Amino acid sequence: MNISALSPGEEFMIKGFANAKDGVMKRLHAMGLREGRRGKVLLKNGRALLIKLDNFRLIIDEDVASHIEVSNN
Amino acid sequence: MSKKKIKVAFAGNPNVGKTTLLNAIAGTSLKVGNWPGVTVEKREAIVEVGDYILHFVDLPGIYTLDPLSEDEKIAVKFLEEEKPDVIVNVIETPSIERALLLTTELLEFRIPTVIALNMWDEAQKVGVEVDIKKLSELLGVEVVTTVGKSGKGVKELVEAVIRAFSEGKTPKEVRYSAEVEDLLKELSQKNPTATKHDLIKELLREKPDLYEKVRDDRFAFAHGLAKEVVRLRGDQGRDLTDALDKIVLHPLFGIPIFIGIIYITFKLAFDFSSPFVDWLDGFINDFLSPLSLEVLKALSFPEWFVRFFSEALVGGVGFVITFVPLIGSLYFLITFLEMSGYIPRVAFLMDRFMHKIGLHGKSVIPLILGFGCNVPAIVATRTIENPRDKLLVIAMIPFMSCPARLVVFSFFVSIFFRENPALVITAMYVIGIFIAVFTALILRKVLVKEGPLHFVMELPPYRFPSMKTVFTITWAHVKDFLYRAGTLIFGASIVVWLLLNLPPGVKNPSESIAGKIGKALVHVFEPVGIDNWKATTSLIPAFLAREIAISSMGTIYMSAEGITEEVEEFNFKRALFNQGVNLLNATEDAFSSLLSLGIVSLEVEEEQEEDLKSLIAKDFNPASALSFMIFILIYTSCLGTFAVMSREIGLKGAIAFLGYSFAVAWITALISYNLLSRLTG
Ligand SMILES: Nc1nc2c(ncn2[C@@H]2O[C@H](COP(=O)(O)OP(=O)(O)OP(=O)(O)O)[C@@H](O)[C@H]2O)c(=O)[nH]1
Ligand SMILES: [Mg+2]
Repeated sequence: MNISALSPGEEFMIKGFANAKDGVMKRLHAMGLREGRRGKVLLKNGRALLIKLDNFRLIIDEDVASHIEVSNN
Repeated sequence: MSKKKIKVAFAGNPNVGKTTLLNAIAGTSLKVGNWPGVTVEKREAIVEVGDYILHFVDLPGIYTLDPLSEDEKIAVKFLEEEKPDVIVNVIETPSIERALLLTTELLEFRIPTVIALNMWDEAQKVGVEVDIKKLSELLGVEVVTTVGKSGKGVKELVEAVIRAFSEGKTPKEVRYSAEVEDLLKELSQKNPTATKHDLIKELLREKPDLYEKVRDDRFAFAHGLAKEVVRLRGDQGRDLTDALDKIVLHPLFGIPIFIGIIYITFKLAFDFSSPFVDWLDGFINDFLSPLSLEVLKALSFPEWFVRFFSEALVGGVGFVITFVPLIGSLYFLITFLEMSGYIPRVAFLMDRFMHKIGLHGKSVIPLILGFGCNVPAIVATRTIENPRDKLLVIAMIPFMSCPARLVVFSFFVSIFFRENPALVITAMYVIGIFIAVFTALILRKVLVKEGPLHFVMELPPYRFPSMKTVFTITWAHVKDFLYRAGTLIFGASIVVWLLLNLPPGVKNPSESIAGKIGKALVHVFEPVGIDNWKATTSLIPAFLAREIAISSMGTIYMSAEGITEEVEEFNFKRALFNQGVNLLNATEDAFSSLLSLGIVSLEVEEEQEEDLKSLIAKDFNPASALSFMIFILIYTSCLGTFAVMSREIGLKGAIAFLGYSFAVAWITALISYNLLSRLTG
């Protein structure tokens, strides 16, 4: 399941990254997204998702979200 | 003994307070703001401490030494090539674990390093504790805690930098897994002076498939480090940012709230400033000008100089200076918004719309900055990774109406659109946005789409702006405006005045050089209703800066119509007293206007006989005045914008854009002129 399937308020754990392009992957990793990290979807607005991990928030759009595989909790 | 120079680089993730810290250390007023990607160029500040001269270099924020966008490349290039003596690694303490990922990379430069645990205040609020001593021991670096906003810990930071430099301690480095370390050892035998950073770069060039291994080792190191030194003190209750975001970023209410915020910003700026604008106008025309004319006459200056004084200086520069309160209030509010954290939220709100024109939400940030000033907005596009997107946004920014244009608009509406000034000014902003979108849609068709569009951006928490910073930044903008009035605008007024009085002995200004140029241009502007040489002439020097449109208008009308204000006996004491009373009244009006919901200053327009304004009124009608405003809005008449455009997209591109904007301005003006002429009969 990719992260955009979740609704606001749902928590997740990142399982992996599906066929993401190199640049995107590097960026996501450097921003602190990795396998095993837990987080929560805060809000959704059209194509944009607001997620929260530990003490920071990221905006990602659908294209990026489609590469992030997660499991519920 | 000569002083020792220390080159210090500020490196860290975006939006962690690097520039704020540097401003606190060096007393500079470099641009700060609460979103990632404020600093996009390297900036230097020099401070002398004891026997040392510290050259601080502020860099754009980075997540890794693997840059994607232009601003990141600037930061990484500096670190790799210019070899600073000391690196100050600024960390946003609440998210220290992630920040340590970059730290592990920075340590491999083998440069003495100081870690600044910034936002210490916020860390305490969210319950993140750090064992400073242990962190310092484990990494072999100096560690200090700081609060950039208040300047706490800044002195200790400078001391730590000097200590790190004089002790020359190299930091400890990540130990990778045996396989990687063995390969690194081999490489270092070939090149013994290389740093670990260089070696790894070379290793990954030879064996790219080791990338993930290296990355995972770094991550494990950072993670382990965080486990050793960071302690989380339970949950600290509800987060204000999350609660606010539920409202501000609401799928339905988000956009209306955005529009409301814009409305309030302009309302406050207008209403608060307009009593002061009126006061300044009176102060210059009823006090300063007659006073100095008295003095000039008493000192028996020649007649031409007295004319020069009242036409070029009072009519030209004085005219523009009266708008300082408007500029100041607007910048105050814009800066407040920039510091609050609202700006990056607009990126989230507007993503859907921006996607329709082939961009994503993040590109809206430079566009919004454009409403403050087009020049830094264009520079801010460096954060956009995709060159095509960058070009698109650069082509949109000049249509975002800036405060300089607002000065011209508010002058014109006060003469020609007294009944619905707010509507006309709003229309100007909307036309600008419309043309920007139109331009993007055309360009999108022409340019090839390249690379994936991906939108990832960190969203900072809301932060209450430090008022001191807001005032400092506002003052920097006002100073800049005054400086331009004293240099560019004054210079343009002098040139215009000279051209109005050349060839020597010319009696009728319409026969002067300026008059002839203006008349030739009338042919171009006649179809859009601007059929007067005085108006066309004032458009030419306005290419330098838009405010010059009205300063040169002031000069031209003053000298062409020969207003000789016969001031009947000027009584200094009484005039000064009157000015004092007026200022008090203005202050009272300014504050009381804040209590109403509508835009007060634009509603009440008493009929007053103002010489210059009524003269200008004779040469225009509402339809042609609107054409003039449309030209000021759309045609990129700003030297600063042109210069920065040619730097970012090349001279040819900038010139082509100038031509484009002229054509669009002309066509838009033609349409609006014909529509309005017909409507008003
Ligand atoms: N609460 C708190 N806020 C801070 C502190 N230091 C900086 N800020 C705020 O954090 C925001 C970002 O500050 P900047 O100095 O622009 O950050 P930067 O690291 O230069 O950011 P970029 O140039 O975008 O990489 C601003 O709103 C500052 O007012 C601090 O110690 N505590
Ligand atoms: Mg900065």
